[in-house]
Amino acid sequence: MKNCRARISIDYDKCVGSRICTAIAPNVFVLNGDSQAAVTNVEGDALETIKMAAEACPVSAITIEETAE
Amino acid sequence: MTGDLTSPEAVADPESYFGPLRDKDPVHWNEQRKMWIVTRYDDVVWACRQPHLFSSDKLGFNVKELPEKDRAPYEQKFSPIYKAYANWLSAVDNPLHDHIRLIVNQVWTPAQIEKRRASIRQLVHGLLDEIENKDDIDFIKDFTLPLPIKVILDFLNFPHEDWKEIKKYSDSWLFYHFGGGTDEARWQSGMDGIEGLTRYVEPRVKERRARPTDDYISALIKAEWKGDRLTDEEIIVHCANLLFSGHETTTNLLANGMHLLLSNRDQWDRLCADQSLIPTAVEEIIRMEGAIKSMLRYALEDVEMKGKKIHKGDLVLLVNAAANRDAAKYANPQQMDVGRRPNAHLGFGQGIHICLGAPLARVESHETYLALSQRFPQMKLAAETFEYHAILRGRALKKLPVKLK
Repeated sequence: MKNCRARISIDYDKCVGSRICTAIAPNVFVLNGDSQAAVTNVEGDALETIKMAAEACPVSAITIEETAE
Repeated sequence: MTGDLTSPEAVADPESYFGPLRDKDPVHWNEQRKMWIVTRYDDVVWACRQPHLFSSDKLGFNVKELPEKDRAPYEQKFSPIYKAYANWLSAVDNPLHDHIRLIVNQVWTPAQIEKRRASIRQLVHGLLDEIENKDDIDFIKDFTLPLPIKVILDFLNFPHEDWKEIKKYSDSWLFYHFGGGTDEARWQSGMDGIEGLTRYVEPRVKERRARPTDDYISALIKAEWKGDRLTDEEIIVHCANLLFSGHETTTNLLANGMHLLLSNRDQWDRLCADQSLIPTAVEEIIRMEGAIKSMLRYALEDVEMKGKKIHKGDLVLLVNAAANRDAAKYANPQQMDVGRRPNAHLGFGQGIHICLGAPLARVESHETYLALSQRFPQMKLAAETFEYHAILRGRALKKLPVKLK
C-alpha cells in the first residue's frame, strides 16, 4: 500500500523540529537545513502511516489533503 | 557584563539582565555560574534542534556540578535522584529519549488532549464558583494551583484529595530540579521529593498492571512502538514526572498570564470584548511570560556560536525568555499584543524536547481566560508590587492578589 494520493503541507511557523514525523514515516519526512520537517517523497510510506505522523505532531504542523484518484 | 542570574533585579525583571546580553554579547560566558548564556532567537532555536551537539542528560549535569570528591558518595547517598533522572524524559538523550517519547506521545497528541476540554471547563468553573464571592483572593492559591493539579490527577486517574500530599513532594523536588549547586540541603530536598512521588505512584502502576482499566496508566502499559514497550520502572518515573511537571509549570503560566493581562489593561479589555482572540492571546502570554525562562544543556563537541568557541563539556543556558523578545524576530517585542500572529515563540522549547504537555497547558489556558473574560471582565490586580521565586530556570510568582469584581 504505497500509493498515497495526498497533498502534504507543513506549517513552518508551527514546526518545532520534534522529529516525531521523521520517526513515524521516515520515507516521507526528512529534516531540512533548519532541522524542520520536509517532505521528500509523498509516496514513501502508506497513507495510514502518514496520517499517524500528522496526528502525532505535537504542534499540529502537518496537514494532509487527500486528493481524488 | 556581570551579575547573578538569580539576583533580585534579574528575578524581578529577567529582561533587565538578558536584554543587554542579547544586544551586546549574545553568546556570553558567565564566570560566576561557569556557563554560556545564549539569548538570541536564531541561536536558541538552532541549538535546541541539535540534540547531537547539546545534551540534556541530567546525570551528566550532576557530574558536572559536583566536585570530583563528592561524585561517588552523592551517587550512593542520593541514588533515587539518579534512578529517576535515568528515565526522566526531559533529562535524557537519544536513543533513550525517543524510546520513551514515541510511546507516551501517542496519548499526548493535540487531538487526544482536546477530548479533555469539557471536563477541564467544568473544573475551571467549579473553582471560580468557590471564589466568586470572596474578597481577598490569591489567584495562585485559590485557582492556578488547584486547577492544574486536579487536571493532572484526573489525567492519571488519581483521587483529588491526594493533592496536598503530592504538592508537598512536588515542591521538594522543584527546589532541587530547577535549582543549582552542590549544597546537601538541596540534594536532600530533591531526594525527599522524588522518593515521595515514586512511592505514591508505584503501587498504582502495579495495580493497573494487574487489573488494567481504560485509564492513562493502563494505556501506557499497553502502548508500544515497533514492538518496544515501557517497563514498570519507566512508567513509574514518567508518572512521577507528570505529577510534578504536569502542574508546576501550568500553575506559573496561568498566574503569569493573568498578571500580564491585568498589567496591560487595554489588552485585557480587548480580549473581553473579542474572545476569538483567546488562542493568540495564550501564545502571546507564553512568549512574554512563559513558565520556563531557560533550558540547560552541555556541549557534546566543540561548537562555535557567534564567533565564540564553546568547548566540549561546557554548560550552555539557552534562554528562551530572552529569545522570545528578540527584535530581530518580533516587531515591538516588549509590547503585549493579544492578536499577535504569527508567533513562533520558544516558550515550550524546540526540537526533540518540545514540551510533552504543551497541548494540555494550552487547553487549560484557553479555558481559564475564556471563563474569566466571560465572568469577570472587571477583574483587577489587588497589589502594587509582585514578587517572583528566585529560581534559575523558572518564572514563578509568589502571590497574585486580585479582585474579581
